[in-house]
Amino acid sequence: MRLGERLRFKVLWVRLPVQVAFAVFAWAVGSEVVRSALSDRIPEGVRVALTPLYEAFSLPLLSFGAVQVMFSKPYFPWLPLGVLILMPLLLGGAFCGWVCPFGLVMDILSYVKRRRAQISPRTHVQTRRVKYVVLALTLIVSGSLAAALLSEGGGEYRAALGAAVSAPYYSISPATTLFVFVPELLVKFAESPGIAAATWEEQWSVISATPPLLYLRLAIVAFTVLGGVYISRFWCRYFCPLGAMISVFSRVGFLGLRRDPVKCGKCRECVERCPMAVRILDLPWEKFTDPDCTMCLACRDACPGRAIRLRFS
Amino acid sequence: MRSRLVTAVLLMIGLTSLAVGLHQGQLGEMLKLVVEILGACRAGLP
Repeated sequence: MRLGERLRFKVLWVRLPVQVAFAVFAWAVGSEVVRSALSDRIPEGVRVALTPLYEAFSLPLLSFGAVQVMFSKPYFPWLPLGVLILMPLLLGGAFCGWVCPFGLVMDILSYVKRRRAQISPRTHVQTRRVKYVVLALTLIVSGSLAAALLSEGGGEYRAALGAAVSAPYYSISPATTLFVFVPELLVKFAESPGIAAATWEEQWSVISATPPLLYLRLAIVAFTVLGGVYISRFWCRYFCPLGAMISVFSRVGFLGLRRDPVKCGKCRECVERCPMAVRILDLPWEKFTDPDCTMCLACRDACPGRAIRLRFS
Repeated sequence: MRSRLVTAVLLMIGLTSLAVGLHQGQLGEMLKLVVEILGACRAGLP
C-alpha cells in the first residue's frame, strides 16, 4: 500500500474516539460505584455546566429503556418514541455505528479473529428476522402490561413478570449485563465478608444460591461474545431489538450513502469490509439507505476509488 | 415519491410525539428514570 493511501483520512479515526466517549459515559452512569465517586468530587458549577451535555448524551442511550419503563407506569412514552422515530429519520443507523457502547464491544471483538465465519446470504437474511421478533416480544410484554394496568387488572401480571417488570429487554440484554450487571456483581463478590478465605464448598453454596436469571444473563453474554469473535457485529445483525426499531425508520430516512458509478471499480472491497454484510453493489447508486447500515462508513474507508460518500436528501 | 410521503408522515409523527413529550415534561421524567432503568439492568443480582 502506498504511503499516501495509508495516510488518507479514515472516518474510523473520528468514529472510534466518539464510540469510546459514549462507552465511558454509559459505564460511568451505569456503575453505582463510579457515579457516587463522581458526584462527591465534581464541583456544583461544573455539574451545572455539564448537565446539557449529560442530557444530550442520555437521550439516545435512555430512549429504548424509557419506552419500556414508561409503559410499566403506565403512561405513554411520547418523548422517547419521538426520539426513536426522529433519530433514524435524520441520522439513519448512526446510533448503532457511533453511539452504542455495545457496538464498540462488538467492533473490538471483530478484531480478535482475522478469518471470519462465512454465512450464506439466505441464512443471513433469515436470521436477521430474529431481531424483529425480539423487538415485537419486548413491545408486546411492555404494551400488554400497560393495558393490563390501565384496566386495573395488572397486579398479577406485574407480579408474574418479576424482575423483568420495568424493562423486560434490559433484564437480559448483554449490553446492560456487561456495562452494569457484571461490574456490580464483581464489586458484590469482592465485598462479601471473608469470600477470599472461604473454602470452595462455601463459595459454591453462595454461587448456587444466586437467582437463575444471573446464569441466563451470563450465558447470553458468553454466546454473544463467542458469536462476535466469528461474525462481525453478531448481536447487532441478528438480535438487537433497538437496532431493529432504528432500521424500521432509517430505511426511509434522509441520511444515506451514494456510490459514484464512474469512480466505482466494483472491486467489492466495500462489501467485504461492511460489518453488517450490506450488499452495497446490489443497491441503487444514487442513494441507498439499507436498514442494516450503521453509518460506520467502513465502506467509504475501504473504497480505493473514493466512490462512496454520505448523502442527505 | 411514495417513500417521500412515508418519510414526511413519519417526520410529522415524530415531531408531534416529541412536542407532546416535552410539553408533558417527560425530559426531566426520563432523566429521573435512570434509576429505574438501572434497576432493570441489575435484575438477577444476588
